[in-house]
Amino acid sequence: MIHKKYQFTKKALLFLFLILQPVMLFAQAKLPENMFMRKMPNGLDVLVIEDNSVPLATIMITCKNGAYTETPRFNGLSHLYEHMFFKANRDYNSQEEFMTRVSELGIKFNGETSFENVNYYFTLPNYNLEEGLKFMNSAIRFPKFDRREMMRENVVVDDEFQRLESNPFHALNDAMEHHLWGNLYSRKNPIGNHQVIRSATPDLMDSIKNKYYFPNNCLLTVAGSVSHEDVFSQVDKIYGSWQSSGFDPFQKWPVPEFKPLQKTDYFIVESPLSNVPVIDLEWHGPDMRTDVPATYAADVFSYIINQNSSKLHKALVQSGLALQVDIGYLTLSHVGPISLHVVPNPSKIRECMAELKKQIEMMDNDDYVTDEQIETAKEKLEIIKIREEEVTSDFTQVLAFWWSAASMDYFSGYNANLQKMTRADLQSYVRKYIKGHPYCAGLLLSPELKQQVQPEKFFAANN
Amino acid sequence: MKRYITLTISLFFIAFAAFAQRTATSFDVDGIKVIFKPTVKNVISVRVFYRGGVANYPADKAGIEDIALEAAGQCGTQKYSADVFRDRTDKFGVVISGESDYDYGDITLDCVSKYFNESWDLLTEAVTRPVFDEGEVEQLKSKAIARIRQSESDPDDHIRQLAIANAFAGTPYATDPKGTEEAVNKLTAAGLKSYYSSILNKNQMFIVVAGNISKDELISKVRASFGSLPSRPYTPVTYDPPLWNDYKVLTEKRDLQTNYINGVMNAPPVNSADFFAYRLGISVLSGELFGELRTRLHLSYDPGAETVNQLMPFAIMSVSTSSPKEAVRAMTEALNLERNSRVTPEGLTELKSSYITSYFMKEQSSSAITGSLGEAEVLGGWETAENLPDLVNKVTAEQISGAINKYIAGLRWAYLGNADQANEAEGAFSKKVR
Repeated sequence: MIHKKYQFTKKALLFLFLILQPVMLFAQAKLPENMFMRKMPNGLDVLVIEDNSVPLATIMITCKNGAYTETPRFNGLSHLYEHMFFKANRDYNSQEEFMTRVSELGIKFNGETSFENVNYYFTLPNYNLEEGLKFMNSAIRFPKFDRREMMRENVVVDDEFQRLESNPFHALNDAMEHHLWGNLYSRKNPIGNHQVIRSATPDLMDSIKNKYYFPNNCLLTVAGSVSHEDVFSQVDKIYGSWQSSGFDPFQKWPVPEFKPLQKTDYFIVESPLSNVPVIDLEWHGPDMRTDVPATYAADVFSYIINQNSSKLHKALVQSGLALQVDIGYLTLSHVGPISLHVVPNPSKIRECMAELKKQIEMMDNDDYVTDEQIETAKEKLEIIKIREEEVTSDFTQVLAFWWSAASMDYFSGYNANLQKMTRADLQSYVRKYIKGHPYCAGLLLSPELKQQVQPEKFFAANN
Repeated sequence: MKRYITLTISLFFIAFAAFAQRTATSFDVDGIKVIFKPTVKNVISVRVFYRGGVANYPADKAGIEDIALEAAGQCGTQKYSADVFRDRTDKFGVVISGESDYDYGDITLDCVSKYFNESWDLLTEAVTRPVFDEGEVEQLKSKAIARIRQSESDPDDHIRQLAIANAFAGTPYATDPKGTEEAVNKLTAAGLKSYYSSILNKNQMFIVVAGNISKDELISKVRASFGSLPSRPYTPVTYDPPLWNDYKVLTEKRDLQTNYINGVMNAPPVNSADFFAYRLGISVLSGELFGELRTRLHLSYDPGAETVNQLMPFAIMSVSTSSPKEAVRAMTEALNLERNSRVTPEGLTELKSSYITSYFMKEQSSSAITGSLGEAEVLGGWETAENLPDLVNKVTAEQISGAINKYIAGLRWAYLGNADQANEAEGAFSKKVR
């Protein structure tokens, strides 16, 4: 499975992407009392979340791998590796044997390849925890990369690609990634490249394993009806012999820096699959290595703009120019994008775009946000955190994201640091990343609508 | 190993009693049925259900209930204008939403414990005093039409629409509860208001709540908010489900990167003795499809099967593939295999274990709990959802085999994709299960 980017739905799903290296300026806090973290001598981070509400345990391994580690020649191999994880390994001779064991242990499983991490998880009855930890150990440390299994998997991965390409929003999303990241597109493309995946060999899989799949580059999360002492003890026994690589893969194979956008770039995507027009504006935003304060400001600002009372919402949605507008910032260690999505009223795309540009120019005005909106945003972010913790088997996914893009300290201190955000911080963020800065703007529409509205006459940087 | 697993699965059920958050109960509050499950988490879910679904309105009003229930929380109330209402949902981090499906509609509240009182006030307003402001309704209609268009362009959504249209032609389920563009365009604020009044009836409604609250507090809130709602006679809808014992395919040509195929089959209703045996049988089929079409034949990324629990229930197989002829043949073969074999004792133990893992995964979420209890209540009784682990544990291999052979006797296929490949697969679509 790969990270999905955008959907237009009846019930807005709120995903909060948090971030960061702890910085001395910001408060750090202890983990919540039901969470326990340890680093093993081999460098493996182990996180335990105790939650006795249901008799389940979730075991997740997260590896700092994914799109950001991939040159064009390797684009998609993290994703293929994720598929191969669920196949033959030292202890299970084939995918069939692997799947038999899945059944025996009552496991629900999946994996996800994203921008900056790949994770694999099993949810199973808690009495099978030890066997589940052993099963995960076999898969993460001793994959076989059987050549025949790899070749056969190509068809499966192809179908995953084709499903994605059949989605009406894919054409816009993919074009946006190309425009936004230029020649480093592969570093932001988790699903990868068809041809690279088709021509992959076991040797290439081994090369990924030998760069990234070491305990000092991984997080093991165990969550559910478990005892942390018991988990740490079992993990020591099962994973203690996993040898550290002795190097930091990101020092050895650094992720190249993304060059800032040089100019604003408008493009139109015509797709017969599109029944609903979509406008997407994206900027290069802050990242965890260079601008921690802006990541907090970005989250607070986004939650203000997404409120019903925001000036942007009133100007676009309540005026009838758009059906939906939302802004988001994806915190990453390497340039998180700021994304402004609009579903315009099909008969008012031109007016909607004009108003959108006008609003962007006003975003750093003293009166663009109210004190009440700032407080509501902070409160809302805190509430989202409570919601994220409700379903423990899903919460592991959120924590994996924080760990890979930021740190557990950032997660612990997040709410306290949000509370410190002021109007001046928000203005500074807008001025530093949005207003007056180059961005990419894409418009997705059907051939019929394109002919009707002739967007090339107004959907342009100089308009 | 197998012995160990067999032993531990029995422990799983013993453990269940100790681990379960708490058990659900139901009671009457001033004439309205309330189903309540206490939880230990800080998220509260409340769903106000309205029975009937597509049986409540004629086909030319498709979408009226879905939009009326959404409008109740989006288009203003007597106490709060739409704008103020939305501001308050922002302020308290509460989600109030309304929608309708084939058998029922609901207005739901999803909030954190800290703001339960403020959130309950908004729910009360939405349920009991919506005003359906004309301007707001027009905006909501535009959004609904955009959703309908998007759903049609989403292959996964649209193949399901085609499958249901093919299977349930001539029945009330031929009406899409989300509506059509044409039908939604004709809806008016006055019409929505009048329609909503017609389903606002204690005897047609019930409430399901899951959260870390006390029963006494809940009773007091329900009484204060909903005690004075109108009460009129209501007879729950009953259907005579269609029986599919032949093979038909509905094809729609669309230029996509891959082809989407669904196959619909008969299924027993919730109150049937075959219900859980059949559900487990479809789980076996789903595993078989994954094993054959993905693991062994490499024809598809995510093949599977599921039961769809409705008043007119069905099971459905789904696959996306570049090789439809081979995939449909493999799907039919998977059905034949299941009809002609029996789950081993070990396999049955593993199957139940996996099934109950899924059950407990859902039990982590207040919203999922109210959803499953409410759906079960509509279909015959909430206890079915609450007692699922025990009921599943009683199923035998013989019962699974009997249920699968009894109900899978025909198929209603739907195909979305390349027309030439659909023609090539024509023979495969008409192949009978043996």
